[in-house]
Amino acid sequence: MSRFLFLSLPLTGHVNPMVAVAKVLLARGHEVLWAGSESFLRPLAGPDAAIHPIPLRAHRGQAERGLDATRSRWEGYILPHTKYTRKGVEAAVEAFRPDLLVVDQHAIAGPIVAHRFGLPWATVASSAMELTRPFARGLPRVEEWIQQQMRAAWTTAGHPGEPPWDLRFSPDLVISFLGEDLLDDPAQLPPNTVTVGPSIAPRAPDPDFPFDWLDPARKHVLVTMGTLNMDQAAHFYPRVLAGLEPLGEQLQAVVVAPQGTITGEPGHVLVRRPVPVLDLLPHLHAVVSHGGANTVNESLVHGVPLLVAPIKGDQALMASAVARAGAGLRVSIDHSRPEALRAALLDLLDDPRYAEAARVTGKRLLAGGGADAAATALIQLARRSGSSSILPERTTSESEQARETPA
Amino acid sequence: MAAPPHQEIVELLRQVTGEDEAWAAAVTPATRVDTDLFIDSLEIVALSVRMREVYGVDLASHLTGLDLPGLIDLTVGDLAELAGART
Repeated sequence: MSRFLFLSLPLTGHVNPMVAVAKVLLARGHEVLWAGSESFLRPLAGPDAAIHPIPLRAHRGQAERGLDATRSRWEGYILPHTKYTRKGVEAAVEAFRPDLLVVDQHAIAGPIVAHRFGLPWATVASSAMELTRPFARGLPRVEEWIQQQMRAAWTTAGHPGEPPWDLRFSPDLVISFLGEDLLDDPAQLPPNTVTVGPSIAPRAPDPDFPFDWLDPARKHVLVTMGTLNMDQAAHFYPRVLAGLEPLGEQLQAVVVAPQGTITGEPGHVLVRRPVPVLDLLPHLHAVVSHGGANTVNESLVHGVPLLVAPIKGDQALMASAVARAGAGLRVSIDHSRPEALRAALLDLLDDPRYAEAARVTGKRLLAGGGADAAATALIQLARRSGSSSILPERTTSESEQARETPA
Repeated sequence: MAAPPHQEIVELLRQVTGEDEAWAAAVTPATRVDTDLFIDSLEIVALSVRMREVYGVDLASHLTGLDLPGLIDLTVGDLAELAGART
């Protein structure tokens, strides 16, 4: 049996697929320890999950859009998070002595610590943001800038020279929760990538959700713009609502938004947050979304077509992938007026080819094996890496010395 | 070739975004393409095609030469300058 240290960022969409993998590993008799904020991880990972606590600290965050969002993701979020969590991750390694670190692509404290202890690490990717390195082709100087950021994180951690690998890609194993249908150019994936596709664990039911509100005589639409994006999507909600307004005879819509942020909605619109998306999906005929990878994956495996209005980051890649698969339409979040949104939504609902393409694509995604296949690949890597997991005393004291070195 | 009038570039932007005249009226030469207008990658492709047709310049290739701050700060005025740059 092997020990796996899981490390992610405090982002729901990144943690959820890893939770599903952790559950499979535990069910097969292995040990999993999470390193991260207990208050953030506990509700997602479940009451029985083992967590090495690293307190949550507010970083500047990722409020901007466009390429400014790329800049702030690294400068204001990934780099401070790496610096802040590194010692906690080291302490978790020393206490738990994992055979393998399982690391989100952006949790680059993982490879930095793994290198210090000579441990193997596997990368998991829940977003298309860096997976096919889209910037390397279209905007090469942005990719260069990202490389500089990773070198800076390496140096700040006290490591000499340059990182021996791209910190976003384990040299041993990259697990992609995005199936090939959702990638702009699968040929760009590193050769050691295992494309497992959607990794979805059941979530706690929401006993308060009014499923009896859904009228079986009408079609059902979910509008969800992600957990972090209320401000950035604020101008989009009124347009969607105006688009939905005259459609009360043919559909009902559930809009995910905190109560009070939307007022005066018509009777065929239900505003709620949170919403039990996985339990709702079997009732749905279309999803209007920002194109978060989890929403896209979950909709497609339920055969539900999507209207995608990307806000930033990899969402534009996801939106184009959905359109390319014929499983939905991409619209501009900034430049689509209510009439255009209504027309696109009606097209999705009325033309059965979208739902058919969503079903076919969902089946193809599931063929990757999901959390089960991810767990199998991780177990094989942990075994292959063998008993090198025992930390010699020397390595620990070296690490102590390195900590004394001012950054 | 002199830089085309600002309004010509704004009209191309309006066409590729599907926006209206009120939107276009608020765009100035100092308006930033990525940061203020949120022109997305598909719209950049469409704009690139139109700029090649109308002015014979290669926007996509121009963008590959820009660094991150340069891309973030790229303005509508910069596009007009590029449009006038064909030799």
